[in-house]
Amino acid sequence: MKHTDVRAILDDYLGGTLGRSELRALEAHLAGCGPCRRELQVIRRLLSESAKLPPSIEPPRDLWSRIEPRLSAKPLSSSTVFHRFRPPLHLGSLAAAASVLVILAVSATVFATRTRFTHTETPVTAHQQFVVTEKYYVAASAELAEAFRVARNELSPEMVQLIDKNLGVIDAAIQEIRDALAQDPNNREVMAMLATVYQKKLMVLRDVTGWTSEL
Amino acid sequence: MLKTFTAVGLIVSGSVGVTHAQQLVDERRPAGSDGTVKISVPAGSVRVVRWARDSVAVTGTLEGKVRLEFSTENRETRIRVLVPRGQSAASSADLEINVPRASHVAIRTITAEIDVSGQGSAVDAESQSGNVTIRGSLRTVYAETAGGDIRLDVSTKILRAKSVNGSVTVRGARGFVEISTVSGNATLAAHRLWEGEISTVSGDILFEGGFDHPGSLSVDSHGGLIELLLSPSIDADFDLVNVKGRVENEFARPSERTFSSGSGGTQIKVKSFKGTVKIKKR
Repeated sequence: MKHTDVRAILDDYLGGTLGRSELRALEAHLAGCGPCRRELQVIRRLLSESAKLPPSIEPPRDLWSRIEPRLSAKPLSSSTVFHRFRPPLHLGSLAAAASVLVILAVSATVFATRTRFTHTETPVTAHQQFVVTEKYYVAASAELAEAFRVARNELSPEMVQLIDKNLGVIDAAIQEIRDALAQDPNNREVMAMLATVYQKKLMVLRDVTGWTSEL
Repeated sequence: MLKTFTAVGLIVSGSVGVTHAQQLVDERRPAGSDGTVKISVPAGSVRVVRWARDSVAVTGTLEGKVRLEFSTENRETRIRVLVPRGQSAASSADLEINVPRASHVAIRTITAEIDVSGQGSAVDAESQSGNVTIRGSLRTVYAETAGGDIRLDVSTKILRAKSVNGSVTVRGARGFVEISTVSGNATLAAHRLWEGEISTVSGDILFEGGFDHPGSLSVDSHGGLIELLLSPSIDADFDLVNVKGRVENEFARPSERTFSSGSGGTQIKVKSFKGTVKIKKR
């Protein structure tokens, strides 16, 4: 991988949207390339600093109302982002669609927390924006959970029990964070925690749905 | 040219009136010094040892009617334990596989234990419920299991370990390290870390180590204990988020969420929803 190739995908790396092979190629390059590692550090710090900035000007409601349908419509028709995800081992379009939903959910989160607008009209709260983001996580989780429901017959009862137990741990965490968010709806840190736990749930479901009792 | 040696023997062992065949395996194939070796073993155990020879050798036993497929094409060697249709997948194989030092090794199992040792290139080990143990000096390490424990005692620059229920323990890593579990505990003892990321939902997290300045560490748990043991002289910028949990901090007042130690530089981010966070001086 060349330096220019690496720098072109550092944003995706930090966004967690690289596929497994790209990720490995990138990390192999970074392991031996000081300048690219420094570039990564610079981008990470810029993102970290920008995330701390107050959202002084929020997108106007009318703008958001135009964006939301586009986000809603985009997931199942977008093919440009498909190749970036690790292809599920034995899954069809269902899980792939869920993966795309995740990407868009992450995009929506970034939009909700970082985008600045020049308009000063009716503000949309961070919570309202996150509600839209959460819809994608819930939809993606539901699709993968359905795929797992079908795939669980392929797994041993012990493995199914173990996965169910851990999905229960995740769901309990989601409920606790949602309760906290209900008390403090615009707390961005709590929103980020909720997004993290949703991502963990998607990761587990995506991984185990690809498994069978045979190799 | 390397001599190809193949010997498969059959022994019969009896136990409490039940007789089952056990096949002895002792096979060797020439292989490129830096090719890929793909191994799949459903149940039992697989032990991979790197050696300074341009060949792959498989020794061990196969239980019941399971069959070994051992092939080499171009730069790729495939070793597969095949379970006949209708036979229990639990029918196991216990194999020791020697591979060239510079080869990339990919291992897949269902319940089989994975054990890799030696110096070399990349290891990619994935099991559904078996334990994964990797030791040695390796360029990259990827280890994944849902139900098993992962134990990595490695000197490596790129490491990713992922479990669901099991614990992950990593010692000796440097460079990039990423650890993820749901309910399993995660332990990372690292030195000269460039970038570390540890994430659990209910599992505890323990980090002990230092950074290749300026490094970064991101630690995240919903409800598990988070404990960081750091050098008293560390130059780092801290950013703590704890919604409902308790904080014990030897680098700043417990109420402080953003603070620096020394001249700063290394970024340390800790996020917890309800777990206790302890940041201690070593």
